Amino acid sequence: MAKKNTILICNGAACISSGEERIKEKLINKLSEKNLTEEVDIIETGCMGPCQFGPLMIVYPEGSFYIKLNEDKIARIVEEHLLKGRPVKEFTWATPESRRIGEEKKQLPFFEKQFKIVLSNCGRIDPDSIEEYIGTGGYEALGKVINEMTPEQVIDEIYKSGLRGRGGAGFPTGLKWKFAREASGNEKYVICNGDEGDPGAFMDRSICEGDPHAVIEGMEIAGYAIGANQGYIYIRAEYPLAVKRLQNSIQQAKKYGLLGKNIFGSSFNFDIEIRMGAGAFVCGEETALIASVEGKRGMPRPRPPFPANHGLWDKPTIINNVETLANIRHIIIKGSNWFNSIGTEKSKGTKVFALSGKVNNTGLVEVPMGITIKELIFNIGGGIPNNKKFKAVQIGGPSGGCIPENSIDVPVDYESLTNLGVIMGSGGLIVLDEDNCMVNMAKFFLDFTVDESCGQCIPCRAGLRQMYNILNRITRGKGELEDIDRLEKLSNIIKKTSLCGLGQTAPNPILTTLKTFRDEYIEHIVEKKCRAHVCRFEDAEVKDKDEKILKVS
Amino acid sequence: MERIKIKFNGNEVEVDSGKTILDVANELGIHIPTLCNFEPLAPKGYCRMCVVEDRGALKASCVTPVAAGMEIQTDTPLVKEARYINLQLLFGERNHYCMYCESSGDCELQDLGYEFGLDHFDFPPYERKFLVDNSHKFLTIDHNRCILCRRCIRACSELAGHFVLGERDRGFNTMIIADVDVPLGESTCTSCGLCAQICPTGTIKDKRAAYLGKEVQSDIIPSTCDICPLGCGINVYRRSGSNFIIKVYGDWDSPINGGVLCKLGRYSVLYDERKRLLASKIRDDFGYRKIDFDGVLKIARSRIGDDAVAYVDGSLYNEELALIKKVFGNNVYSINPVEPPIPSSTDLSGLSKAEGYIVIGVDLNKDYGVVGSMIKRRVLGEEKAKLFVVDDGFNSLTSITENVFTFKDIEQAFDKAKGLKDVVVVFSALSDTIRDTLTKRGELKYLWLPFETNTIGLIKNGIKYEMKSGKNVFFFGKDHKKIRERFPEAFVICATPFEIEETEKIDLLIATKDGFEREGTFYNLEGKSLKRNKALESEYNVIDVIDLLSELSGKTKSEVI
Ligand SMILES: Cc1cc2nc3c(=O)[nH]c(=O)nc-3n(C[C@H](O)[C@H](O)[C@H](O)COP(=O)(O)O)c2cc1C
Ligand code: SF4
Ligand code: SF4
Ligand code: SF4
Repeated sequence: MAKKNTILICNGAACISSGEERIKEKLINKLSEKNLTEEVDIIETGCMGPCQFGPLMIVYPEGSFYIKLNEDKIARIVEEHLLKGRPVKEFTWATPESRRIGEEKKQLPFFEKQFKIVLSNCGRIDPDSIEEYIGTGGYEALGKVINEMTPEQVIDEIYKSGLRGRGGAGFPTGLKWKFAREASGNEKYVICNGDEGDPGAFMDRSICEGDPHAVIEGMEIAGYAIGANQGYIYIRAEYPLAVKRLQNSIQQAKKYGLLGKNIFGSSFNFDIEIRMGAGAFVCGEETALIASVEGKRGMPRPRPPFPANHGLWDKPTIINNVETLANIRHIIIKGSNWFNSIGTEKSKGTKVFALSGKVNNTGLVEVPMGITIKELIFNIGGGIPNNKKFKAVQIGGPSGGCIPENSIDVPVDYESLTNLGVIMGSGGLIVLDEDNCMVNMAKFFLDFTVDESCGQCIPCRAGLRQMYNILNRITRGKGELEDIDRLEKLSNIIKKTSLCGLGQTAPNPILTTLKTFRDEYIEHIVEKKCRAHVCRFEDAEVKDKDEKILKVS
Repeated sequence: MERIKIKFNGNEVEVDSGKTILDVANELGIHIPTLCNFEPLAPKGYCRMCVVEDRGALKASCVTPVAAGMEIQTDTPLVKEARYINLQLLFGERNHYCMYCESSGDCELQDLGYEFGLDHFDFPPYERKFLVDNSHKFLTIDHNRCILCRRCIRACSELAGHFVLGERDRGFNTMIIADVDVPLGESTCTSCGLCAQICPTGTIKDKRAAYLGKEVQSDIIPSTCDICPLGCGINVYRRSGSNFIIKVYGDWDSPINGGVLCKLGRYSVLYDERKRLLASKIRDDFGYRKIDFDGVLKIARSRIGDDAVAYVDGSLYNEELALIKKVFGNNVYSINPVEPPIPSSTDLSGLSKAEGYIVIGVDLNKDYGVVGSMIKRRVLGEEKAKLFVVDDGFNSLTSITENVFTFKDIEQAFDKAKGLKDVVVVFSALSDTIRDTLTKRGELKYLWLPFETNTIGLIKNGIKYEMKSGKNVFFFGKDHKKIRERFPEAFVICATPFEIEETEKIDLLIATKDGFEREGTFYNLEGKSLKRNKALESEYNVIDVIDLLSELSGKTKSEVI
């Protein structure tokens, strides 16, 4: 019997913490109270995106997007909408100016400019159900690859699609696979990098929670392409829900013969294991990650040799980001031409960002490459709250940099961002307004990288700390103008001589703010003034970073 | 290996593709400063002192393999600036006020400071205070001087095989630790001292060597350790113009130990508390009376004849043994057993290739420390070789393996080792039962650890372990404990360096040279003849056994050696 209504209830981590479980229970109780249980389907989905409005649910066929749910609202929605067929408009989402536009999800400005490929299933299907995944065409790509394509054809297709790694560096994925395929050795490995150590980032987590099978399918295709039979998903232990869903999906896929031995009845075998990381930022760096999977201290090592030749257990290995892998199945099914048509000349497809900071709509968004920062913030993000003035946006997490107001027409693609001295990174976007002090912001990110430096090489280990000390002096009114030179000199040498990507990029927030917000630095030093009123100069005693007396035993 | 073309400081050179940039620079005689890199260790690229420029990018030359098309510049302004700033960062990280440091003058960090003309600190030193770990008997660790080059950790594991040192925390909080962060003196440290030898700064120091003298104030005498039959290569640091030893270092170039030593080899000379026999003495009715070399000769001559036998131990060098045979003919015997229960069927290179080790009845950490290192670094390291220990008493090796068996259960050890390709059995003395069980195992290789330093020399000289009596019994060596007890009626003459309890019962005591006062050759466990060089003059009224024996044999010293 066809159900009258289908409800998608967001089971992303943010909604769970804002009480999704309680809401769901209330909904189920209320439905059975009104004898509607048979009429309504409830599906729990992964993150829907606009996290600050949780708990969230969408009621179909009307497509009413209910936000900020509580038990009273549920009671009314059941009575009015589900029983009587009258959506409760005042509980649905609309920005002040678009309250009237309607409930169909597509028409909400938050969604309008988005283009969903990797997030297409997130918030739409029950991530714990392989049947639903298969229902959206899941594992079709794997079947196609195994039955119709040679590994070389797969690599060629991915290469032609123009897909570049979403983990930060933007290395062409097809090329990486090609190197690993051509590397000699029978044993090869695929590693999915789900470490996601940037503070505030949750793109990969949401994909793993909302569409875990897509990651698994991507890994299997990668395994087929390079000739690997074993994959590892490296994911941080702080993501228990993602771990649970991935584990469940692995089991389901095995039950269906879609993972394990003789996949699709072919001779291709592929198994996946989950490895949990302790949550050090540097463990996301590929060589450190490999060491960690091998059970050693998660410390980077010099490259070359690259993992494609000498990776896990010294065997050829590809490491790809979660989002990179989640793109694969779409490219295989819809073709490289389709993927190639999205985005800009050198940056194809879409990118998921976690929008946060001083912006009306925070949350997870997926946009085509080439969209401008301005559109991202003012259309999708709904602008700056409380009529404050936009100041800059920090992109790329602690190793990224700041884009100031006069550059917000820059298109989001790898090259344009690099030209501005920032990086795409893994997708963190923090919007800053006039109440943010740029010096303090740079110090905040440096504080993070100082703590996360693995401590092997001297420029990163001691250099970042000296930079932090200088910034600390400046934000306490004890700086001197020479400090700016010192910062620049140190930044330059740290970037050029650090052993791994952490140190090589850690000075970026300082360098980019020194470039465009130099006057704020000078103001702090000369006038002892912080225009954002963040830094305090009264108790201007310079206290460097908490001194811990280190003990030996 | 492929040959490729690169440019080095503007000149085109053809090099092997497997080499690092630093290798090539060394071959070309171009100086690149290094600090964390140290030859026998795998390069890591921590200190960044060795950066060079390649088409605008800086690369750590110790870890970067050469690649076609490279244009290496070793001395550009950027290279210099990078090295200078990183050196300043190293000096500013902890406390490097050289004038208060024992290592001043012997410090690789300080050397670089001079090389780069550091005349001030860019960054405030003394920012933080670190602990000094003084808990160890031989070593002290002043963490305030540590530059986290991790040479100590790498040497402790990669070379010495002990895997005691490690690190905790990360970033600038990183600390060198022992085991799970316990004081070094309470850790599983075997006191091999390699960390002190390899530490480039004033962090890990030998306590006894401290303040005795710098390298430039030392005569460095290459020699061989003669404490066990392995024969590790050593360098003896003697204070120039003086007659004392500052320290003993392992010889990095020795094909036997490659720099590694054990506690005995490194420290016994500095901590020797045995009582020296300070002069030769003859016993008469009133007790002992000192006599000089001529007196010794007279008495000894009068006691040599058909009714004299000589006993020796394995501490004697080949030259001494040859003379003893000349003087006593075939009446020379060993006081200790000499014959191997089973002869060796492999050597040290075989040992360093094996997949499995069955160690029977010897505590390698205690008695054959560097043999222990050779095995442990393969068992605990990347090679993951298997270790089986068969012993009834305490054996410190049992802490690093689950495969521990009693003598009774030795068969179980064989069973467990079955699938392994290359298994070496290591032993010294064996009971008859164990020996018989072992000889039945044709698939195994044997490495016998001789009982004393020159046991092999005794064998080669045909000197047997037998009990022959005579009216006059001579003994040469250190181990004279059993002599009087065995020959209660004989006139006993002992040429020995030390006094022990039993010394009182000897009729003629000849005080001899010992340790680095002697020189000669001996055969190590592989049967290689090794030279022990002299490093000290004796300060007592002692006799060189060689001098005594040449006189007794009627030859001059130059005729016999
Ligand atoms: C300090 C540091 C942290 C990193 N963290 C991550 C991470 O959390 N997730 C990720 O996918 N890549 C991370 N990367 C990038 C990886 O090293 C690697 O380039 C990436 O996983 C490759 O996948 P892709 O080609 O699909 O982007 C990090 C790199 C550095 C230097
Ligand atoms: S750059 Fe930083 S994180 Fe990377 S190896 Fe060096 S110290 Fe470790
Ligand atoms: S460790 Fe070296 S550089 Fe540091 S204080 Fe001692 S001598 Fe000077
Ligand atoms: S103790 Fe010495 S060898 Fe070890 S890391 Fe510190 S400076 Fe290097």
